[in-house]
Amino acid sequence: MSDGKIKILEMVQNGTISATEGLELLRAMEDNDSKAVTASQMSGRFIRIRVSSGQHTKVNVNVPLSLLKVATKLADVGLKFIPAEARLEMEKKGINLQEINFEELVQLIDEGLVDGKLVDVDTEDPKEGRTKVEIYVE
Amino acid sequence: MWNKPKSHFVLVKVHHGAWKFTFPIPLFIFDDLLTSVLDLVVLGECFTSRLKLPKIAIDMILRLLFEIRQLGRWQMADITVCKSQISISFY
Repeated sequence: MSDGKIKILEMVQNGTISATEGLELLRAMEDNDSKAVTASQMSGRFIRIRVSSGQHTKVNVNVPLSLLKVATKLADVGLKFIPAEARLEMEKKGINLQEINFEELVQLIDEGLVDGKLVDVDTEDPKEGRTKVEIYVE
Repeated sequence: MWNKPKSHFVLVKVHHGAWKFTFPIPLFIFDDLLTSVLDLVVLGECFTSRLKLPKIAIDMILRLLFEIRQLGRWQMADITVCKSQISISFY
């Protein structure tokens, strides 16, 4: 039994909440657990990056979410390789890469909280024509 | 599952005008190379503590490679700029 469920039962035992309220809380927790299982089963999902600029440039990149999960752990290691000078320079400009929680970001996408289109930019340039950038989860 | 298709090659296709190249690179090359390097790094760790970070990095890349192999057939990138095209797929 999880710690959360034990806490709810203790609250019922102490009389902090009623048995009905405790039952509702336990049901809500079970619903969350089943949602988490279905989210972890979505391993076949991809982050798709589509860029089309004019008639000549087309970029089509697909990154599997499962790969992204492993890559986030690699990102933490990769950040350590950034020279201290470069890191200081970025911090002066207000960019702190270590504050970005990549794992949480990927987890949010994987759980379906961030779904559909993440980026959708459509611009018109008289010289280069129409440029469209799309990043979405599928 | 035991019968789940795995990818064994990374196929890099390059089209440039009339030129057309296809490079099939077996994934086990990277796998074996990195495993051998990791063994050397682990051995080197007995003599110096500087190799801790490279060891973690190689270990992570190996995990990344393992994940790629588990995914089966998929196309990673397809980039077209004017008459040039590069595509990277896993088979």
